[in-house]
Amino acid sequence: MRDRRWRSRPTTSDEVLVHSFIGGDEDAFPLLVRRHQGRLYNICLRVVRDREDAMDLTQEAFARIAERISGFAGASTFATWSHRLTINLCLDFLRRKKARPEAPLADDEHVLEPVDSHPGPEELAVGRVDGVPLWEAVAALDEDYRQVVVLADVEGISMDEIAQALDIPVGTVKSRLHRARARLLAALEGRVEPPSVRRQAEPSPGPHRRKDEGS
Amino acid sequence: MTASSHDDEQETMKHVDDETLSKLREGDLDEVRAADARAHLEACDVCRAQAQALDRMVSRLAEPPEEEIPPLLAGRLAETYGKPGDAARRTAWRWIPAVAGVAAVVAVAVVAVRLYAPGQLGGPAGAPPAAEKAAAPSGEGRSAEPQAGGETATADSAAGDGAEPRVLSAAAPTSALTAYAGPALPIPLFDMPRVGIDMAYVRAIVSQPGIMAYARRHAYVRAYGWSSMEGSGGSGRFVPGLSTHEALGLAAANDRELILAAVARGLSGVDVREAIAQARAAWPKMRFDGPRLKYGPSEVPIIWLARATWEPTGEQVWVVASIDVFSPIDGTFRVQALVLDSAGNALVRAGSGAETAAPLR
Repeated sequence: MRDRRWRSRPTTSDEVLVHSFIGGDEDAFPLLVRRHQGRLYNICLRVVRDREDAMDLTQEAFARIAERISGFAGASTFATWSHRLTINLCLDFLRRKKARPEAPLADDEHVLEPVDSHPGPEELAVGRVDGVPLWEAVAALDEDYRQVVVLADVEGISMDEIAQALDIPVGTVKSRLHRARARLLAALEGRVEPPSVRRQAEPSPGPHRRKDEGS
Repeated sequence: MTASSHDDEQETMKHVDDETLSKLREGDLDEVRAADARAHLEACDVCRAQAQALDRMVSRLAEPPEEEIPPLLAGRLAETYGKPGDAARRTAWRWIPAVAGVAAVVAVAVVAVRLYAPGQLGGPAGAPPAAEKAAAPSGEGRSAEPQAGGETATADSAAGDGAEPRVLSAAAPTSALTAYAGPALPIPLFDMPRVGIDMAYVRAIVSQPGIMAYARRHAYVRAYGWSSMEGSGGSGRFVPGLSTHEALGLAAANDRELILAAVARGLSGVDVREAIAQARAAWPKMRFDGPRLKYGPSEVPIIWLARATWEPTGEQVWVVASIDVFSPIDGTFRVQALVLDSAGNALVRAGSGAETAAPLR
């Protein structure tokens, strides 16, 4: 029995839409897509960083959601469920990418003019968080560190899952995470060098003033 | 931070470094070191403040800024899934798996038939050796190349300027198409008598000013079986690693049913353009000419890619099409390029893998 009562309620919950869709009301799915497309796209963008890949993965995520939505048991929210599904796709993507790294094409001397003015991933990564030092600092991290921080601290993925996805030991994941956080803190405080180096080199008559350490 | 160094640290009142603070926060320190660090934090305002700064930072990381979804993606999603109340689009997604097979087969066939079908322009199978072709009078040794719409054109007319097509056979496999189907899939997937790639169009593409800059961003074509089939922007990368044979092996393993279904739907034996037209008619959301396929003919999902070196001979070639077929079931498989020489003549397939050992760079 189709429940179409959601149509008159713009604030209808995701879960009601899901159940309507599973019940046969296919008009509910486009609404779910519109509600969550931005969120899922941003998840993909943060994880894979490449805008085109993020767009592709977002499409794939919705295809996967449509395919598996009947298995959505409601144990979590739709947002959580779709987040997890999308993250899994992204992790698969990273795994595949690691297995088959992409090689750059050789430069060609016949480049005449740029045709496509779309910003690259670096431009996007920085440009979108312009004026927000933390996110500039995240974007500036080495990719190994950035990836782990994004997966662990931004997306909330477990160390084990990250290790599996990136095909590195859990200890390496943790190490990268801690180091990345240290680098972020250093960047936010205006310290260029690793904080431990600067602090240990400094005499420490208390009270200590960390903010001054890098100056 | 070892125990002894920690003792020294206590004595000299050295701070707990940020990595250690992070480890402490996550419970990654052993008991002794954790206890020491905690003791230091209790006594040290600065380190306590730093630990709080770390907490704040981690909290902020959990609330990342978000950018607007690109209009192109929003358009694709709207096209694929429609809008609430759009009854005409209501069931489109249900066709995704079926279209995956259609798209994959069409995509693979466009390249594979073009390159391996006996008698195709520049194709290795059935083509005379390069030396023989070079010695042949103009027009000899070339097979007819039927064009879309039932008209038959010679290779000359397809090439456009009457240039002698050449064959670089150094790494070309001698196997026929059936080798690509493999024993697990004994169906003549690519037994299509006609393929409608418009070589004149491709040649026109090659001569476009600024094409290389475009190629860097649009390095390969992806065939999204589940949603669309269109050119995909990229960042000037070519993905080595899979031969066509491997790709089809994966296809057979992962998408066997889909491919079989696609074949059963009658794609085999029809003109590619006609097949695509049929697919479009059957599933109007299937796109072959999205904004990112600027240089591809609307009928065929083909795109200019980049210039490369054909390693067996060192010749500079143009990689015209690379099709990246995404399995909707389990991962990716890739089908690689159709290669033209600088005059736009079709050569052999390029790419990497066991059969050519000629990775494009």
